[in-house]
Amino acid sequence: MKTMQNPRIITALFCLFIIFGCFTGCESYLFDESTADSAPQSNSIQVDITAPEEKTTSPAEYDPFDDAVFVGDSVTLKLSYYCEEYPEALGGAQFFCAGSLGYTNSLWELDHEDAVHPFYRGETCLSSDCAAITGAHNVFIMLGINDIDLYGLDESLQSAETLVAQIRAKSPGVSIYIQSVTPVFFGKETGELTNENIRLFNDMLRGLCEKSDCKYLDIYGLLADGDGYLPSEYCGDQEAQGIHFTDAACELWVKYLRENV
Amino acid sequence: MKKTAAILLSLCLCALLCACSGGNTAKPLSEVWSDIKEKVAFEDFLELSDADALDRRYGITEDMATEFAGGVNSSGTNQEEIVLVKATDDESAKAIKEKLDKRYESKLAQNKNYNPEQAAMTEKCKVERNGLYVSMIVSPEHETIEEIFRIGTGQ
Repeated sequence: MKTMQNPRIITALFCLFIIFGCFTGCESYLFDESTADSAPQSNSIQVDITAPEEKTTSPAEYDPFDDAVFVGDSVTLKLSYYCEEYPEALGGAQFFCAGSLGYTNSLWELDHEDAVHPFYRGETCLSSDCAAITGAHNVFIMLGINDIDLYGLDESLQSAETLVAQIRAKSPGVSIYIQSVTPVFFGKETGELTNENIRLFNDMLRGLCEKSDCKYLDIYGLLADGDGYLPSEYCGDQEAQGIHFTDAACELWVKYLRENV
Repeated sequence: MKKTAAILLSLCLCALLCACSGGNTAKPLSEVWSDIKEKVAFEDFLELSDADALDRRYGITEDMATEFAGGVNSSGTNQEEIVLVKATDDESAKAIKEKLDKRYESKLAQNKNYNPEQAAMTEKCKVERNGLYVSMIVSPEHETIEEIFRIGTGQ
């Protein structure tokens, strides 16, 4: 009898062991699923979900850049990434940027075949709607580098004037700051996009500001070297187009904005 | 004795089947992203740091996603951009795919006349959805990244 009972006891104990092991393994999967259903996770960073427009500040704490939108091309796109990396740079400033955006093509319809409108919060938007969509009261524009060679100075200025008028029509009362076109790196001037033409266009933009109640910001003068070129320490694409910025250029740009706005 | 051995062997096989079947073999996206960064060298890369960046760039709000990872080349000229998202539910996954499709089309439009080399690279890439996982992987290394993402999320 004893020799027959021992194998049964061993079998029963082994079965219990296997069953216990299975439940232990499955439970860990269930635990992982339940934690995956919790709040969005990326690098375990806690998120302040208060939207900028919900925050209230006293007049003494007003930061014009918390109430600003920057409209620009790939040069400003670099600034937007710089500000994301250094949030204290321009506070809550928002960005309406697109590579190859210009004064002229900013006026095209959204469904234009060659449209390159800014992409903001999941939607393609017209630059003229920048203030209306973001709620910003301070609009900073830096365009023109993609206009001068294609459309010439006069047509580009006409487009700039139209864009300013459209922004004002859609968002009366906003303050508009027109930033100059910025310099090109030595050896990278092409076609009509020369530093001389950029300076001429900037003079025209200055005149536009005077008659349109806008403020002109001379970013060209801030960055250009003695010969009017974008210095190597500020140029992030010396081997390519020679017009895009390094972090050092963005730092200087931000400092200028903080001191002049 | 032979019967006992046969029963024990059957139970072992059942135990093995229980261990291998069911359950979620997907890793958290933060781990998948770490795996990707081990294999792919990114330059001038600004990682997606918080839910606000996800909303600001793509319109993907906090209630739509349970996990996300990725980032973008911050030079302003290079179009490398990776967005990996696990949606809250099927409806959110569909909405996320639509938003990333628009982002992808926007990238193509911005570069087709302006930067043909980057446009060509972008054209080889795509936005994909598999269940709750949605990805936009625009990178010269998109094949490697897609494979790591696919394996890491148990697809």
